[in-house]
Amino acid sequence: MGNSRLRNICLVIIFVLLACAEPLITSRFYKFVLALAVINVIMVTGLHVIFGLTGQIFMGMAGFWGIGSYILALATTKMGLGFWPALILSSVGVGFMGVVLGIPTLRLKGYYLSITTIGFGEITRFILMNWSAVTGGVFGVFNIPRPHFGGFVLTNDAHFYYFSLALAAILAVVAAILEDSKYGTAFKGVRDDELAADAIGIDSTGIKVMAFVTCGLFVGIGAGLYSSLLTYISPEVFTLEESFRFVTMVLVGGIGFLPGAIVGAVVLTFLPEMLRFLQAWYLAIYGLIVLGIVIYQPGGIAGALQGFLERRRLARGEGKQYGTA
Amino acid sequence: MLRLENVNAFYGHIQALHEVSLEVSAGEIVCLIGANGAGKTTTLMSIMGVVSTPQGKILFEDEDITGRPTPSIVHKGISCVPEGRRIFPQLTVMENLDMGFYPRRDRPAEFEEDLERVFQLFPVLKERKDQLGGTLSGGQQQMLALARGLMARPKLLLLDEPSLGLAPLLVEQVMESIVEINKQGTTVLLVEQNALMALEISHRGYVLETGAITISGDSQELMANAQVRSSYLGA
Repeated sequence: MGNSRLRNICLVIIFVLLACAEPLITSRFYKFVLALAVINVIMVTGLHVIFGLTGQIFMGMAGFWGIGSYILALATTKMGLGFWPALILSSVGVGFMGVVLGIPTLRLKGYYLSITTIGFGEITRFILMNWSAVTGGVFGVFNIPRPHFGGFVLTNDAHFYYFSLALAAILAVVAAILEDSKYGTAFKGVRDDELAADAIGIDSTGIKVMAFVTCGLFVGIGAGLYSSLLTYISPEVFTLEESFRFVTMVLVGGIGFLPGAIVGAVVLTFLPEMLRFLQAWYLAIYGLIVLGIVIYQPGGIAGALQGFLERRRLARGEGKQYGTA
Repeated sequence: MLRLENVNAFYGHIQALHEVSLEVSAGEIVCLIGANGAGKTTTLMSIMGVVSTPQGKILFEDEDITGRPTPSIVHKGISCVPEGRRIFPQLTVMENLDMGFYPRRDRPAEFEEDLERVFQLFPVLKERKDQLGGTLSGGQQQMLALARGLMARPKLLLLDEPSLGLAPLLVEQVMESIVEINKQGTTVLLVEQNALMALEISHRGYVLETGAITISGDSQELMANAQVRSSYLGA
């Protein structure tokens, strides 16, 4: 999947489509879901760095998301910080959580790391729920402000949407640049073969901490926007189920392919809402769809796309990409 | 250049190396031969600081490097081509070489020079530089692994079973390139199960049995040694 041109083309197409989508959606509810989708895009970009590029199955996204949401919420409502410093604080705060979580756990590999990160997510939720003096407990935090530019406050959902979309695009570019850098290659090296990376002198623990921190910085921004979009947050949202949903977004998109993860985020934000009319059945149908993708298209959206391009190239008689056998 | 003094290594409670002492001088090819599970890989991994902190002393250019973190050891001038090649399959040949250069990324100016050198040694890698590592044949992957190790510009190169799983003709080709690498000034510590090949290209050798050095000497002598012949050369 090391095709950065394909990636860049796909990213441009996706963001143009997302920009065009807003006026086409008439329902207020789906406009709101679209905004949520873009926020998930930002957070999944963070997960792409740690899971897609570095290969660490991070099951604690809800923890990062919850911490970021609460930092922005509390900083604006209780500490009296403005929106912008609070957003930076939530980004840096979650990035710092990346170090806190990273250093003790990164000696763990594979499943052990996953299980530990599940624990991290759950502990975070319980702290948010029970540390009432600071977090407001199960009642959550109210009156979280919307972003503003000078005196202009983004109370209009469409304005908020385009603002989030712009941030998402910027962060996608940052992630793409990171991916093409020496560090991006080192991330992928650790993913491909950690022991080999160690043996040739790449500090794989340091690389993983770096990936966790990058993930945290991204998720903190998405989480801050989430608080601000809803203007009200409470701890019961940040469940293990949500952590799984983020991992599924990457899987559906195709591991290691950023545009895939982004499409996965949009699809998996809309799918549950669109299936809601099925009521009790919706989880079963949702599960079946995800299962179907994993069984019949294990490479996800990225795999399907690459298969399509390859078949077209063969059909045009250009043969294999690499000449001499 | 490299000296191991009474090195012991453990996996949990199991002792894998018993008082291993060996020496590699600058310019040499030294081979370490022995059966499966004798501790050959453990010896290399102890030098590289990859597995469990070994006891005893590992000196490189008279400096104690025992238990140092791997990146700092690579920085000092030892690099390792691990057993089973372990190239990065999802990275291109070029990116694999980039990774070999990673410990020296503070000196980007030298990259082209080193790249030229490994492409001269292994022209096939230049042809396939944009291909994914995992799509190379076994022999090409071994060359890539060697090239990746050389990109760290090591003074001492540790090779773990470079002949593993290769057809006889390719084994010969890989061995020739090891001799060439050595002629260009890199000292080599070679771990091999293919004892005959290893002794043919090396200056000196050590025999490792169940975690301890039992025989050592000039490769020519070892090839004549009755015990080595019956146990490892099938003669």
